[in-house]
Amino acid sequence: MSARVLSLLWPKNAAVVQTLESTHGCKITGPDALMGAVRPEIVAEARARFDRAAPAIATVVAPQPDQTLRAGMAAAMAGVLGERLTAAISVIDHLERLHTEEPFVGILLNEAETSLGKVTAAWGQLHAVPVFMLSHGANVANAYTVVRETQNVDYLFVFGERGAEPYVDRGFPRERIVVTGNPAWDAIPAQLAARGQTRARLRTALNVPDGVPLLLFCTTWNAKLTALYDAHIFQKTLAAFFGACAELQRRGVPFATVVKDRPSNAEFGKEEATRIAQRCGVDGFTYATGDLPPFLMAADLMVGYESSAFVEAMLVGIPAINLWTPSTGLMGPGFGCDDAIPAVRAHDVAALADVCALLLREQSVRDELTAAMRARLERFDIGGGMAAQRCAAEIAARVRVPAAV
Amino acid sequence: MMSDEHPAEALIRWKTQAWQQPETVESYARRVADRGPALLKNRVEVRMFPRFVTGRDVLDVGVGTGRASRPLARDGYSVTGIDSSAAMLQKCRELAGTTPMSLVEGDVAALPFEDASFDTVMALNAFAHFPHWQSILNEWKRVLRPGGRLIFDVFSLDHDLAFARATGRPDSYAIEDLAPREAGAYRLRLRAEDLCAHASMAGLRVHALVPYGALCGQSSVNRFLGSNFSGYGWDRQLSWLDSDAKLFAFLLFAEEAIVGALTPSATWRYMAVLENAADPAANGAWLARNREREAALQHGLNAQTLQVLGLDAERLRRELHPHLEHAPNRAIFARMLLAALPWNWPVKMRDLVDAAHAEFLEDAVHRGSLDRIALLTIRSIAGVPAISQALTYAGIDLSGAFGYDMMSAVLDKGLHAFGEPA
Repeated sequence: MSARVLSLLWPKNAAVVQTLESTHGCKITGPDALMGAVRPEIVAEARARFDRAAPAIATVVAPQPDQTLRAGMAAAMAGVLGERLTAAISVIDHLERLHTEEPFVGILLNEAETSLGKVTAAWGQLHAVPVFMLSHGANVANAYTVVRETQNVDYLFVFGERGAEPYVDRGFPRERIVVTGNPAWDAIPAQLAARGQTRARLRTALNVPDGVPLLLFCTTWNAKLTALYDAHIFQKTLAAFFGACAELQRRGVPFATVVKDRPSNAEFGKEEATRIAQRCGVDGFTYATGDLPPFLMAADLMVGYESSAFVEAMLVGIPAINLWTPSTGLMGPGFGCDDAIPAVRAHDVAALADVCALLLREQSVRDELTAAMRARLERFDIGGGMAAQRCAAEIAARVRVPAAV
Repeated sequence: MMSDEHPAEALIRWKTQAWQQPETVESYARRVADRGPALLKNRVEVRMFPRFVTGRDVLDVGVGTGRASRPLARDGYSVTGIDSSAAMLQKCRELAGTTPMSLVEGDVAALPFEDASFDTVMALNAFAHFPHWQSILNEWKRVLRPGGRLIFDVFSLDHDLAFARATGRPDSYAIEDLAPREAGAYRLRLRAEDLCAHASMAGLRVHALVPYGALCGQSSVNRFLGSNFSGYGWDRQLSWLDSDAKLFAFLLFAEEAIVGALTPSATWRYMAVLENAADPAANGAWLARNREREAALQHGLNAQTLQVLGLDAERLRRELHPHLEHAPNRAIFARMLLAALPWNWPVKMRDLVDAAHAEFLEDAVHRGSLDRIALLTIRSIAGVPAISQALTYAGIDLSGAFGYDMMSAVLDKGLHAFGEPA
């Protein structure tokens, strides 16, 4: 009898699932199994439960003295409940049915904070099915508000020791954290073997002449989970970058620019970036939303903000500059002084231009910095092309395989 | 086989043996190095001794690497260091170089010195190892000249008691639950009142109990500042001290001028400065003054509280101003103010800082308040029986399942925390 594992892992972690199947004989059930048609009885059930719960939300917001805010908060909470409750109950309904057909022995998640992950984790814990959460990022940000609440998983897989730190800080037991590396980066070592070709191909596609350095900007976003975080961080960091680009252009430094955005920003990202570039007086840039590593291989310098992208820069071996904003100070920095990621204040575009110019011009400084980045890499990611295998082996060793009948 | 050894003796013997290992010594020397995350704690501790040292002849008990007394020796004090670990003394000799120091291998609980041999007896990270602290204090006092000073650090039970009371728990929580569990992690926690009482009996006068360590990281525990100022995250912030002199100057100022002016219940450890003079009345007066300061602090931080603490509000504002001109310092000061929010501890911003900086700080506190309102409201859903019952399906209480989406919805649409696009 094969061990049935429920995987809600994102496509970038597909290799873990494939290895569990091919090497460890697990039978994988994917997220589609939970997303099937919602039975009419479930819709009715959710509606009835919502109708019972929603009026009581007024008691939850009662301590808030301002009537308008009280109404706004209650409406916001009721809105989420109304939108999500049916799906959550349906997921449980599917889990119960699937588990009855053939029991799950493990559950794999990439996050356990949004409702799908949270409900599935809670169901797993109720049914004594071990829940594994594979970090979807390098966990460079300090946890805040609801993001601090990942206590509902049995095992947490992180890319490197650094990824464990925010969880240890919030009280997650160290003995339940496993350092595996990031499966999504397993391909990078092989890709680096063909780095020259990738670089040449992409630079041709981007129309960057030989000898002209390429500056890569990785955008950031605001998950809106804390009011402390700058609401306009996407715009402000881009403005800092384009401000420095304009300064470099004024100084006569030749370079080309790529803005690498998150796919989820594609709807507004290009337009917004164009508006900011124009405001800063920057002539021309390329907007892209593809995979980051090829862009890193084509680029000579990366600028970004408190992101896992810096770890990818470490993997690829190009210098990278982290912007500092007041939000960095309020939330705490994601990188330490020894991590070989220089920090430059976002509002100081002249300083940013200076550091960019230095890192584009001085090979010895570049070499020193990338050597220091390499030395820190293992702290952030131990992958080495083996993370998927490591994850699969660690999961297989911990799932409860049912005894053969 | 059962041992007849007293648990305190066994603990001391275990710790003494641990420090004999050269690798333990090296690891300790690295941990207290004057750089990176350790820089602030090291400086705050080391700078305490020149402030309170008296006379010329100084004994450093449990001298270790000599980090606290080497600077005194360099400044011309006649320093004797005693340690039970030959490996530690070797490391101290190595680091002292040509600075003259007399180093003695011996028992720090039975000092091999004549009575009244020293003007100052100091100890850093040594006194707190001894559960039988009264006899240790008596022994250290024995070698002190009349009018001389004992200077040592100890952990604050007042801090844990204040935390227990602030969170509605009994004192036993502070005394038992917050005590380190493992024998090797033992640390002596003393109430100011107990130290004063023993000082009076032993013929010692309390000169000062200086709280410190609120911002020092390095496994520091500050139960009121919380996770923003402890753990890996805060140590990562402190790692920038090497390259950000203004940040270092600010945190040092905050520790020395602000934290140091509070009471022993404010931080997890304090530096005790006792004088070799029998003066129970002075000790009683010190305790009364401490209680008055504690009472003032209950009302929050404002000009009146500062006055009771012996701080001049105008001068503090003037001294804070240049520190707050540096953006990272401003942000960290805001984090300190944010840490006060869960305790409903009112801070009258304009009594502390110039209007120029108050705006940023007040905005940060406002935003922190919105986070807190949203988070507490969302969390409280699970405590409402009508909601919890309605949302429990197949044994799973879904009332806490939507926190992620609710947080952004409440902040954005309920509290309008994010304003209009830039």
